[in-house]
Amino acid sequence: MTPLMTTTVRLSGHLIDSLTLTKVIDIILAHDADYRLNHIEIGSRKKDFTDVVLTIQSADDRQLQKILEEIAPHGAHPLAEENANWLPAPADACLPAGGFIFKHLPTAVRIAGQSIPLLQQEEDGLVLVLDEAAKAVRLKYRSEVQAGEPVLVGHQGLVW
Amino acid sequence: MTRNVTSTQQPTILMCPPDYFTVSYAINPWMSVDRPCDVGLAKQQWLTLRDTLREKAGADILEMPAVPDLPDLVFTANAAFVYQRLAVIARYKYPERQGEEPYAEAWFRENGYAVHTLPRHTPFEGAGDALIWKDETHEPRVFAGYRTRTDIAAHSLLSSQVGLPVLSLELVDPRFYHVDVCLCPLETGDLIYYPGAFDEYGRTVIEANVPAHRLIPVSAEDAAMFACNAVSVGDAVVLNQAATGLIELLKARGLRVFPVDLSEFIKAGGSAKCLTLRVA
Repeated sequence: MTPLMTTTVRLSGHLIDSLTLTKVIDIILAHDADYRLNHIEIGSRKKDFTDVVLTIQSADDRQLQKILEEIAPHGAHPLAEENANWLPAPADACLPAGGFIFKHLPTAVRIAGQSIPLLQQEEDGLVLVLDEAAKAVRLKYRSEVQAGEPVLVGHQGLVW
Repeated sequence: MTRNVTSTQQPTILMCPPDYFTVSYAINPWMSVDRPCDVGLAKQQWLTLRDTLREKAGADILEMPAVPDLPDLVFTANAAFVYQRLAVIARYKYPERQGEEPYAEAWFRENGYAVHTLPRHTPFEGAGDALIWKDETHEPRVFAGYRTRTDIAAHSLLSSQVGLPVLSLELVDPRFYHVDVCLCPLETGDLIYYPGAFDEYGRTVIEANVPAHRLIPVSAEDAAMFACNAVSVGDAVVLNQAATGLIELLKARGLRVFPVDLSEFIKAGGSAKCLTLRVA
């Protein structure tokens, strides 16, 4: 089986009302490539943004590059290799602003320039916390998060 | 027919006299250095437009000074996007126009506007690529063009500043390089547009956001005569006189229509709307 080439991109804005997300997905599919929606947060009010992270899967690297070139003008850009951001949980079982529960797990998270692999788990509803003492990351249910524990915020630094 | 006008604000328009206007470079398909404009005729046409807006359409006109070696400063529509005393200043794509940015910023600061500037690497060409549409039953929203002059990233930044939803429309015909040369919201709530300047996604967005009875599609022939580059002030519309089909359509809808000759500015890719910027 031919291994798939993948790149994860992010786009943000009035993607639904502008049909920008539809257009980006149509471009991907028109190239016989596939995609996985890793994250979508739809704004609740008309002026709110929608935020999307998706992974493009293609059998051919040149085709993948062509897709990236075509979707870039519509605001879909590969996630930069940046470190993940963490904020302390404000209370037990509470997430800080920007914290979220995974629908799909990334394969790794970047911390201090290093890519830390994540063990893939079957469970849903996990959040990622940083164990500073052990210099490791752990997946937990929100109910297990403790006040002050560093919780992943935003999608920066995630490898899909 | 009685027309409803959604704005009660005293209309104020910013213009810049064509003292240094010429075609000395080509950054859109309409421009050619081999097809120079008649500078004297351009000045006459600009004065006619200004006086028509002031005396017939009822707008207040403010003028910013022209600057040598900035021939396109005359196209004030591109200088900024203005909403409720906030001016989001243009970041021009082409170096030929980037020299205009500090003059626009200075004008807005000196005239008491809050000013916001976008990052240098995010092209955004003001009200040339972002137009507010609203009517008596719909909240205001911005139709914004991208790909030719403005980067889609600017749309989110603009929305964050002005607090309005921004609908991104890809411009697919290089002749219609700004959204204000292919789409024109009128103060009556109607919306003129040239469908051929947009792809299927863009047309769907326009038709999903504006009621069908308010849409005024124009022909390719009228679009090429800058029909969509019209200035709306109350129930008055001022536009290039060669857009004959649209002129009749607007009259039939009960609007007061004032055609003017803007042939010399069309040589630079602009017409009535490009020569004006609504600032209040």
